[in-house]
Amino acid sequence: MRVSVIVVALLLTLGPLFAAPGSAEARDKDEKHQEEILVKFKEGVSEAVEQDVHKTKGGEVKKEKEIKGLGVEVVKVGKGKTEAKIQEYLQDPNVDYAEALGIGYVDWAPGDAMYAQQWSLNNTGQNGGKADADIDGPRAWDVTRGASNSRSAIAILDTGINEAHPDLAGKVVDRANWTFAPTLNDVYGHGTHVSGIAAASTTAGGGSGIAGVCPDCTLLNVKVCDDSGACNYDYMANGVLWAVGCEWRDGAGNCLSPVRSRSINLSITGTFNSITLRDVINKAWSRGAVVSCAAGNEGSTTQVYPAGYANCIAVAATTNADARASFSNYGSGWVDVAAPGEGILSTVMSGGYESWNGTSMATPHVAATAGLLWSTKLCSNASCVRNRIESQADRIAGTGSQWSKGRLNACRAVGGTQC
Amino acid sequence: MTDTVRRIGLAVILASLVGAVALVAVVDGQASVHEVQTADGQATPDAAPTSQGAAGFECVPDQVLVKFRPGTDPAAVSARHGATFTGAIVGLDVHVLTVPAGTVPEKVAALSADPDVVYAEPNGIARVPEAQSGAAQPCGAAPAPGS
Repeated sequence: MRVSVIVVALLLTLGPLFAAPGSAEARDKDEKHQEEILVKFKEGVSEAVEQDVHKTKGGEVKKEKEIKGLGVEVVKVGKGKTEAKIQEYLQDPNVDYAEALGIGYVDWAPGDAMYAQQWSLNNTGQNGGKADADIDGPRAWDVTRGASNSRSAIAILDTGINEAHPDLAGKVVDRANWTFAPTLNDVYGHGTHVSGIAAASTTAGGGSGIAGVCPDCTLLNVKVCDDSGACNYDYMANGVLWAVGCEWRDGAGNCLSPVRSRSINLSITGTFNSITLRDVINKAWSRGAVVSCAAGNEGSTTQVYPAGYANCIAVAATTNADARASFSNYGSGWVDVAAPGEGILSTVMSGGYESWNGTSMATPHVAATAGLLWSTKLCSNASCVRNRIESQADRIAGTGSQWSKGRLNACRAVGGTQC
Repeated sequence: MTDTVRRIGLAVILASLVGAVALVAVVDGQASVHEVQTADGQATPDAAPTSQGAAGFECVPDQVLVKFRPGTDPAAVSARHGATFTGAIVGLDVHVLTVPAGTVPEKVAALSADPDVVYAEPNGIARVPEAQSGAAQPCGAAPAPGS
């Protein structure tokens, strides 16, 4: 009895997190069985006004289900009416937000044909590794699969993206080429692989291919590496500034464009410690973006950049047995988290899929988890997103010596259950 | 924005850079201090980036990045050092200067000593780390014949 009360309480507490957009079919099916929604009033709205609003909308407050810590009410509106009532509540000036309960998302799994091979998302030992040495993708997706709004967009600063890949089609919502390469499209192939890990679609191609960590997130294609994989620091600097809307400034130094991305992926490493590169990373952070950077593949403790800068989350690579990949750089003095980076299946130039090794493959797991977090209401700023990624990581062996925080756990980061 | 438009935009900004720089308020270019955790758990500042050519990194062999002091005429200072400005990181008010190939360390040193310059540094080259980079040369090395 006691256990079930706790489970119910947990479900209720986590209710608001379940509201991110999911697949239309799953959602429709769930909503037919639902008759309750979540409503939160703005600060300072009186009890009398709240009651009046509910009366007008025909909502019945389920007092016993109120999520007191958050001030969120569970409101019964009638079967089949949840979507319409949410809209009604949202239009009321006293309402902070109203949303679906969304508990039907539990145990959602992508239908992608190759999903079963993706040990980094759900490790069952299918590749000879250790069960649960993964980021707990399915349990994270019970909370959110991302969102197609700009707040959740992930900027891939790399060699470009093969935007025609079936698993990436329609994903890229904006693009810029800061190199002198003749095309914005990926020629080298690296950016395409990184992109699939972050956000490969679960619906494209009739359910073929793979699932990205944030399958409903959109991407920005920011080419900062030329077609040989070389990334001049000025290209990177301009790319980072563009991602946060600061590529042009007015006379007072204000950035002239809106922030385009709040999660920047830099699977790029250099050995030169540059004032310019550090300053743009700091600029991105001050504009509210979380920056995830590869720790590098030399198997050494020597810092690389931009990962070595304080405002990057430096990402090492782990194997399917939760050990540091032999090639991964390490050192808890500068490497923050670890994430799966060996035998990572993703999209390639041919339109097919290959398994690659590298801290470049680990990094988009983190950047995409930031995308997942931005699609929830858990965080309103980059410090919160970074803190959730780091503080909720699994403290596997190596934590405190090879990296400071632990191996990424997307489920725990987004406040999931049974992670 | 297409590549072409971007290129034109870059050309425009370069052509008008002297004027543009006068409009852009330059924030303090001094390196600020940021906390990082060291292996023993003590918080220490980021290691100060070095402008000089420490061994073991790659750079564009004929470019340097320079931040000028507010009110400086970048063209005049560049000319004084035998450099021309050919690109910019506008959002950071940093100029990309072209110098004779192989002279990056000496140009960085000379520019760094110039009172009109906040800092000068090589234009480093990073890599996607899975790339084969067998042809990499240390910054400041003379360009290989034919390159």
